[in-house]
Amino acid sequence: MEIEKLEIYDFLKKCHPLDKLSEAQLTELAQSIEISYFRRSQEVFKPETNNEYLYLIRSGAVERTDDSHGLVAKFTEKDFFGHRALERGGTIKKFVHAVEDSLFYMIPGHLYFKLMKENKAFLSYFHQEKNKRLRSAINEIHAHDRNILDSTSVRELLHTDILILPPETSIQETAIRMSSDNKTAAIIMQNNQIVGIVTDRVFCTKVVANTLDSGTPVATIMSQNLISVTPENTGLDAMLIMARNNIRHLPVVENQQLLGVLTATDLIHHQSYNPIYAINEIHKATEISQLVLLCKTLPQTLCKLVDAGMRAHDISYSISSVGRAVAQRLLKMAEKKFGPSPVDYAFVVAGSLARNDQTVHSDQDNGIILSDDYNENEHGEYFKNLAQFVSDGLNQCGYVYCPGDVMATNTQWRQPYSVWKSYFHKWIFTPKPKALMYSSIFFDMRCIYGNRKLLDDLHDEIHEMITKNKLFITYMAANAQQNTPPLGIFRRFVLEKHGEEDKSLNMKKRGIMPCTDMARVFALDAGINQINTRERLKQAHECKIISKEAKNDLLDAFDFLCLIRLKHQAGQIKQGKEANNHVSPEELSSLERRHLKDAFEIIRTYQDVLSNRYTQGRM
Amino acid sequence: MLSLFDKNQRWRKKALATTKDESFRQYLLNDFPKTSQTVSETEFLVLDFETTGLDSKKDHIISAGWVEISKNKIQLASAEHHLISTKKQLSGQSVSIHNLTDDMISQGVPITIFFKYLLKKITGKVVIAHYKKIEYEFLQQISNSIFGCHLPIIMLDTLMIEKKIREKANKPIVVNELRLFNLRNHYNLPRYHAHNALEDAIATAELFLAQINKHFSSPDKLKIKALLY
Repeated sequence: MEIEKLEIYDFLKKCHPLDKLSEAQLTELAQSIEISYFRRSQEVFKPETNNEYLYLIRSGAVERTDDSHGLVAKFTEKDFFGHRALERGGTIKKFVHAVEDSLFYMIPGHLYFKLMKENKAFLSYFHQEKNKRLRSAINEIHAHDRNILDSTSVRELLHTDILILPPETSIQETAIRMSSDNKTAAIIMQNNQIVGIVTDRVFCTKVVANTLDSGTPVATIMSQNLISVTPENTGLDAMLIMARNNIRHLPVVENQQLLGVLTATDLIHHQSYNPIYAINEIHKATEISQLVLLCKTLPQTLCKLVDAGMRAHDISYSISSVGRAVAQRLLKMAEKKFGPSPVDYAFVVAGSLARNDQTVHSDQDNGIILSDDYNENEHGEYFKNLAQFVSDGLNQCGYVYCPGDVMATNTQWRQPYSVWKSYFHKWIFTPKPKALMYSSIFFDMRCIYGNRKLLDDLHDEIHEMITKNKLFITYMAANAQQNTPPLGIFRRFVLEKHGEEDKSLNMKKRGIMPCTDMARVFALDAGINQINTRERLKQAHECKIISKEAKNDLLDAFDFLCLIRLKHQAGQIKQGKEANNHVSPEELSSLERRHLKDAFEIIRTYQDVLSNRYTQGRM
Repeated sequence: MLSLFDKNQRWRKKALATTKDESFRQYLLNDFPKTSQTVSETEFLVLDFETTGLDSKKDHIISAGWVEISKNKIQLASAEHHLISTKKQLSGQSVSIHNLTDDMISQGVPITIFFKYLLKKITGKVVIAHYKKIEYEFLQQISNSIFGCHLPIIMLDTLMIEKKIREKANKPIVVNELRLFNLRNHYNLPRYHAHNALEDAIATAELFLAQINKHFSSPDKLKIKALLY
């Protein structure tokens, strides 16, 4: 029988993860399917009985309910059920009823186990725990982690403006030509054949060391033992050849024709998307216009980091480092313009930049903690000017003005230490909605310039206050549950309208923020100073505020959400669009959609845990 | 019901007395399913023929498809599809219906070989078809031309089962409502687009399971004779 020709086969191919099976695996699966029919309200599974099949719903729908007939899950066309029972040796724990007349394709248990062993996509789909499933997904994404040079061919890297000289050229002439052409190497050619190469290094090792006459032909000093690469070699190949032979120049040859030269510098330049280079340049900048120019490359940098398969938190950290450097450089410029500061101050940033969670340009959230030596009449003008200069500069660089006016230019957030302290006192002891909002912003505060002791002391005072009013954590915990993951019942995505775009998932508000908010509550409870969400979760576990499982689950969910957001933003940048947080489910693979649901579900679970722990019984 | 039993018994005796063909004798000597056994206990073979026309005397089987049901489940592993060779030219009309070309059909199995193979498959089973008249008449016609006698067989008809279900519920039957693909829709079965003998056999098998589960108490209690119309 040619089962591949049947419509059943086409249907199976449309069901994830069966679409990831090989032809042979799918054929074997199709051939061993048994088909059964259940009328509406008919019982499919009964607890304490045995199940030997993985069920795939061809048409209809079923509900899984617990002993008290409370709804646990609903499955519909293309969904699977029964694998949980298979995993525990066949024992059924929950009721399953058909809620519509349903046709099931039943896949024998032995085949299920075989595919779990043979097929990675199948395994990661049916992995028992959604947290484990998510972890294996993250690992799979990073399994593609590679040195970017590995995926780049020499053809893309080489430069073709090369200096070619005949072998009889004098070494003086060679030196002059290399110097005037600004070249570190020259290729020596005779009758269209490469006969050697000279590099700037040879002038040290052979010419000067051996005190050669300047009229000596270059042929005597050139290196003839030519090591070359082909344009099809990868950048990594080239780098290894250079390292192994201790050379820095490689002629690129194709069909015995010289195409160009690849230098060690070319390889480094290719990696110059690395923000370290950008940060270096930022610190050298003397004009705002230079900073603006450097910041313009930030979206491209983000794309390259995403393409290179870097981990989400490493990317965010890199991007945040650039944001920090820009602000620091602007403050230096301001101090140069307005003179040294009359009193100590700490320039603090809040929000994603403070958490090292920045992706592409976001709003600026900042403030200034002034020393209590500050005197409005004497120093007011200076700090007003400084704040304005920095804020304007940031805005020009793409870190736009904060719509909520949480900026040092707002006198409310440019205050002496004692005033800041009174703010926190008010927020903590009379936690009104606005207070909780400000708390969420200013508990994530990082000093990036000036006297950081001002902020450290403030942090200590804050922890002191919180210990005295633990109720505040309850309020923060309740606040952390305001943004819920976009999952409806039955694990369906709940989409939101965003401006002109089609309905989408707000990754920031519905996924990343709930994680961040929860981590903040744990940090407050533990009395720790970490600001980064991942660090907070890890530290909260160290302090025994959350279990290891909770830490790992939330880290995985957070990492996955950040990664999806970054990939989405990189995609938008490449299409020439403005990057945002609104991911449409259509742009995700069905596997990503499923993992995303897992991540959201993990968040929802821990929001409930949070609610149980802090909210109930205390209020 | 007795009459079917009697007829089958009579044909069986007569066939055993006349035929010397080994495969036919094997079929006849094997136990036939009892009409008193339950659906759950019974093995079914759901059969569909594509033919050049409706007249079993003049027309030919082009292809045959079947799938088995046991323990109330369709066993896809048992699904088979065969092209039957015929020397007769096809009329243009039926070719377009079935999307088969003369070339494809001429590559098929000779009818005698096919029939003996099918006998082996239906041994001890109840055969099901949708509007069984066609399959039944062609089976008898072939049996007569090869062995010179009738083929004793127990066949259920999903169309007749549906008709009885509706009559019992006093539901009027609308034109075309009892056609296989309209009925499938009624039972919330997926829509199939393809039209070949195997696809139709599977579609019929699914319809049979749907009818049994939706309109009768339990396949563990439901007897074959209650479905014989």
